[in-house]
Amino acid sequence: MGVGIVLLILFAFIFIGFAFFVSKKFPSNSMDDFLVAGRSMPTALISASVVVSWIWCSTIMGAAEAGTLYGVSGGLNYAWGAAVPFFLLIPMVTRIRKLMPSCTTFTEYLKVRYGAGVSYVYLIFGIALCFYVMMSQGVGVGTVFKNMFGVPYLLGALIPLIIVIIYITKAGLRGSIYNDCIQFFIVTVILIICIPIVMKTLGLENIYNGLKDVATDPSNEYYDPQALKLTSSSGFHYGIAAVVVAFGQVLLDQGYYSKAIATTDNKSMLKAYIVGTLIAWVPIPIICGNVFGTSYIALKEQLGLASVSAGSDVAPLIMKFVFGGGVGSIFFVLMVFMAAMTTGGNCIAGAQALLSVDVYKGIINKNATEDQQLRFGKTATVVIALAMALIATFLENVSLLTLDTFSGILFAAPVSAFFVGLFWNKVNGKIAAVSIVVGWIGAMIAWFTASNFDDAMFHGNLCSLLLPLVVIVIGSLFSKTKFNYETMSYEKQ
Amino acid sequence: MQLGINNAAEGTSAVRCTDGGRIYSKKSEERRTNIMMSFEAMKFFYIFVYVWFVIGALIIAVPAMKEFINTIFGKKK
Repeated sequence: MGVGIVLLILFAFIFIGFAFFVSKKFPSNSMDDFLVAGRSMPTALISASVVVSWIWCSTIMGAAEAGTLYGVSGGLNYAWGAAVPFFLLIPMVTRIRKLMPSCTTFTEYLKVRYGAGVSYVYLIFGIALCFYVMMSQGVGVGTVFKNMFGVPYLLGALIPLIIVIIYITKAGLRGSIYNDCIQFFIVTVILIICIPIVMKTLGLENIYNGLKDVATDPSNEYYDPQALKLTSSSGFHYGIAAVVVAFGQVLLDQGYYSKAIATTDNKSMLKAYIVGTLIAWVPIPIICGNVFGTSYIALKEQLGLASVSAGSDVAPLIMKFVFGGGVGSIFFVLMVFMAAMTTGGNCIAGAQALLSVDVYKGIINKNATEDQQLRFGKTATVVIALAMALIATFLENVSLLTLDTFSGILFAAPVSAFFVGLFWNKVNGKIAAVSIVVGWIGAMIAWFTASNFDDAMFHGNLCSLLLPLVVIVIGSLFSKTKFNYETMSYEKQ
Repeated sequence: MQLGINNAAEGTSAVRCTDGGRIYSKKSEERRTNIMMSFEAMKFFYIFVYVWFVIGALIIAVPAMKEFINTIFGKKK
């Protein structure tokens, strides 16, 4: 436990220290500078930042869990499912930048497009998502510190989130991006070094033979005839659910919009997001699903590995088996810690923007100065983030994959109205609002009435995403609305 | 996954297998389970993904590192 506590203190010292260094070297001259880094960040830095802020704890531990559930297809389906929404985010941000060039938050756009009422609904979803994601990162890093070093889950979940809160409120998006870059280098070096060592220790042939047993022996604890199929049908169902989950997580996360807006132009943004997502990020969950997840189900009996109370425990268990409590374990903890920090940081940066711009100036004080907005944004962010960090401490042993999948039920419903409304002028605020309600209710019914987790996940997420789309298409076909997009550029003062 | 046995002669599709509620004949089930990755295919897949990751990481890391060093330690903001 001592090693774990020392690591926590060391990380706190390093990352908070770096935040103070960045805020001193690059003081923010304006709210725009603080919230979207002055809209002038180089492509290379945004690419690295996007990659690492999309590496969540669930990218490592949830993908591993998917590997235990779906064999070799688990990580692959996690990867493509989570990557697809970024290819919608790009045209959406491009369109918003064209319609409202000085827009800071996506809810600013929605206020003009659908009216204040609907935009407040999105604001609630956007803020809730930021803090939901942050909470889930706390669960992941708390689990890892507990499993690897015996640090009490409460400390392991709470302290990293407090570190993130401090450095984001101190250094803003610019500090978050620079921090992300450092963490990108560290995470990739750790993965590049550790993965071959794990594979050499466990033996690919042993893993293959173990998986063959999983696929062919009905008495195997993890019997699954599709364990050695990349085109597994159950894995594909999970992939569909993963797409829906990621739609909500990406398209309602102000942090990704802030980073996209922080690029100098649309070409840079396109390059940063495509290179970051497709080329650098996609292989990571595939690796984690196959190296950690499939190894566990293939070799559990052979190596005498402990049973796990939650699938998220598989990745740290494999690492501890291979590296003991040594350097490799420290590297793994560092990697998961970085994943939590960058993702949490991305979310808090986004929440800060929403609270400063849309809540304070948009609702509370329409004549607010930038200083007042930022002060409110930082204070509110700290308070809510601390509350979510505390909630995370009650979620010990909860599966990250379950948390991740359930977030699709909660957050995918508003996506269709947002996306379609950008391009189809017949959608109006009433249709958008009804679609969200219908999607949400349908998803909840599907989730709670399903007979098993796979059905709940699949049908619940599909309802959340597709029911609103049906409502929007049918409603808009009969709608007399013809929204004039030309007026949008004059709305922002 | 459930395995049930009908009252039918051996050698016929007496064994029925279910997967998520769907029912397959024995031959169909054998066909499904026989479509497994070979060891060579799995090895290729693992190596391919790892190399893909390393190349992708380098494509991002090298310019990012240059830009980071210039920004933090240089005059450029």
